[in-house]
Amino acid sequence: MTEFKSRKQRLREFLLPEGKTAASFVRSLRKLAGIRRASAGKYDCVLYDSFDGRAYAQNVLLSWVDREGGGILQALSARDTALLWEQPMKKPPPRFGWTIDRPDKAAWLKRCMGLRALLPAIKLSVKRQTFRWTDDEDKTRAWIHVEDTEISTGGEWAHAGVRLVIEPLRGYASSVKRLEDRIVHDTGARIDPEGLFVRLMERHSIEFARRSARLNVILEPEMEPRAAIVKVLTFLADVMEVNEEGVMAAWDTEFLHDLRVAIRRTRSLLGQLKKQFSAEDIQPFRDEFAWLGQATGRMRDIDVYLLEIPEFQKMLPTRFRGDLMPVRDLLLKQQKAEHKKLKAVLRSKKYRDLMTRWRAFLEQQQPEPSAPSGNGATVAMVARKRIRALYKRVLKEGWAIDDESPAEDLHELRKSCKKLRYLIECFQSLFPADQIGAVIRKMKQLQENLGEFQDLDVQIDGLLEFAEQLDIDREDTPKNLLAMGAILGNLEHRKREVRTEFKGRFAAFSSSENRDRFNNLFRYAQRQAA
Amino acid sequence: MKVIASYNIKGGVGKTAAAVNLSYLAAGEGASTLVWDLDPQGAASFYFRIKPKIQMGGKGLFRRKRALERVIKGTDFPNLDLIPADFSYRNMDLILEGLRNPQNRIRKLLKPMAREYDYVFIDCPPSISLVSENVFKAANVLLVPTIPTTLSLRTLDQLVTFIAKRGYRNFTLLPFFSMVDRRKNIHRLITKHRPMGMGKFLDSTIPYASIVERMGTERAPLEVYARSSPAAGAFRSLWLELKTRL
Repeated sequence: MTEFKSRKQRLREFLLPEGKTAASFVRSLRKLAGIRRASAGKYDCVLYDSFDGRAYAQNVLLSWVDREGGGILQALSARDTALLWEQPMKKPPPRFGWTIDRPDKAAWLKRCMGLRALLPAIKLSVKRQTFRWTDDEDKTRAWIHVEDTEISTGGEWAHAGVRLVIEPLRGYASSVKRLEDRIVHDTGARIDPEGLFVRLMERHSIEFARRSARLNVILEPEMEPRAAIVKVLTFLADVMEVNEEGVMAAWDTEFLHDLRVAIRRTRSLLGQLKKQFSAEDIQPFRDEFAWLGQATGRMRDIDVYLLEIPEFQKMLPTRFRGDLMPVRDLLLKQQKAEHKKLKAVLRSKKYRDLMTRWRAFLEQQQPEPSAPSGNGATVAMVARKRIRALYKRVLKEGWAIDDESPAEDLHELRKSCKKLRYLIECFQSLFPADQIGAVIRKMKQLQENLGEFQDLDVQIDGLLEFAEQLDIDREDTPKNLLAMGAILGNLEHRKREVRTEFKGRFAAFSSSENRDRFNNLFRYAQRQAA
Repeated sequence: MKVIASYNIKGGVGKTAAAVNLSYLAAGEGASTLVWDLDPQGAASFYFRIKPKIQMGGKGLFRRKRALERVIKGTDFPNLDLIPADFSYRNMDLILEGLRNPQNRIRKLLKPMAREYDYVFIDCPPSISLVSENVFKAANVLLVPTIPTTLSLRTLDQLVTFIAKRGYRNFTLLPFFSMVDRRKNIHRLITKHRPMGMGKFLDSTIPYASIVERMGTERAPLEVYARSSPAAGAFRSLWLELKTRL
């Protein structure tokens, strides 16, 4: 992903000899020829990442250093501490990397972070002494930094380590290698192949894993079905709660998205596997999660519209693109109001009670480890049965759709597909990864088509709704309406294309080859159950 | 990648000062920037304290694979690298003449640099030669520092005629007034009544100032040692204006 105008300058990091302080090390360093003091000072350094650690997952460290003479944002490779790029930045980086005023770096950050905000992951306070290693023209060949670092942990500062960093300038690598050898020989410093920042991030990555919304709950095939389902539901409750803070603070739109997906998955599981619980017990939860889904829906719709505005603008000739601004302003206003309501929902007694009771319910469902299951069924059996039933329903609904079928039929099929996908994902650990991966990929292709068809419908309805809300007395409103009309035309055209594409997508999904894939899964589950 | 050549047929007009100071400003904004000191006198290399020597010599540059990448040196400033001058550049015309497609060799050499750099500033040697024709083929902008005197304008006129005759269309010709001495009547007169038909002069002008000459003793761009001087301000204005024309 790092196709970037990068000079890939490698920074070499060293560990100080045991028992040596920064001050005593500096004394030995200064005895070496050609070493000149450049600067000394204390600065703050913040390692940024998304809430779920996307940059680190791609082996990138994003550090913003607030030092005298201007801050700087650096992208470093976590693999080999090469400097990928740097950007002067006086203030901390903006919440969204793609808004920085350097188009190439903005695009790079967009690719790396997607829609996620840059959030401080680790805060450091660094006492840095910098030296230059020069040649006989007083030209710097390498920068040498001795950094005594403290890390902020819950408001307290703790010593994180002292590191020596050698930053060779391009074209001086071979002579800098000689310097490194001398430093190792004369001072006893050791090469640190990993580096302090990577070690700190690695420790922090436990936090990233905890926050991930990716459904990857490990189940054993012989587990008692209810215990297995409770394990998945507990994970989903964790996802809901872990995203609450980000939704409240509106750091980025993915928090609400992840929260809502967890709600939908919970509802879907409760619906599909209702027989595993007493109907009396779960009906109130099904109703309340439906309420929660609804209460968070409007805000998500507005988020999606706002994310689509740039795409809508691209549908217009350049000179008319500004005519969509009133729609954006209207959406921003509505987003603000909806966010207020959403915060009230998440702070409400109803929501808090729901989550408390839900957690208590899940706790109660944990069976005694030694207790035998009611009818001897295992989760593998239940998973096979439910996935098979839903899969059959999807095929039946899909086969019934022809060119004349109403849009509602496609929407129904979309919903069935979603349910099937959720079930497959919940139970994916029961199946071989490559087989389940292939099935999910095929499902995705069909879902993309159905999802786009539905999205286009929602977008068209949304535009019509916003058109009615524009102030008719404003001088620019006719221009805004014309722009929206042009977009509507585009969306309708695309909708027809997507409808035509459906046939091919469903044919691929229902092909004998793909049916074999599903049947292999079912056979595998049967063997597991046996 | 934009290639900006600081060029004039005449010497001593402020080409190197322009290349060094503008490249420093570009790099300071976070743009990955390269300066190629193509002048065998090596003034730009000297200002950046880099020895004016490349191991493979001028000939090697055109013969070896990925030659430029091998000779690039990092300056003391972030985002700013330099290809040093070499004394063998004085024979570059002869080297080029012996090669196939001699007018396009520099452009070809620079092409892979687009992966790494946003801007390349070429500090050109004075005169019109095969080297300068190579620069004309490679450049997006021909930045021409011009002293506001009759002789300098005459030289600029010669350049404009030459470009028109050869039909170069790949670059924008951007002359600007350099080493402007407000005490001199002729300088005031010419900068006020800009000559027509010699490319569109940039509005920014660089004053004649001893602080610029001090670059030789400081061996650093103006911003480093005289940030608040009017001359440093003039280069900042020039860079701002130049960016709008890229």
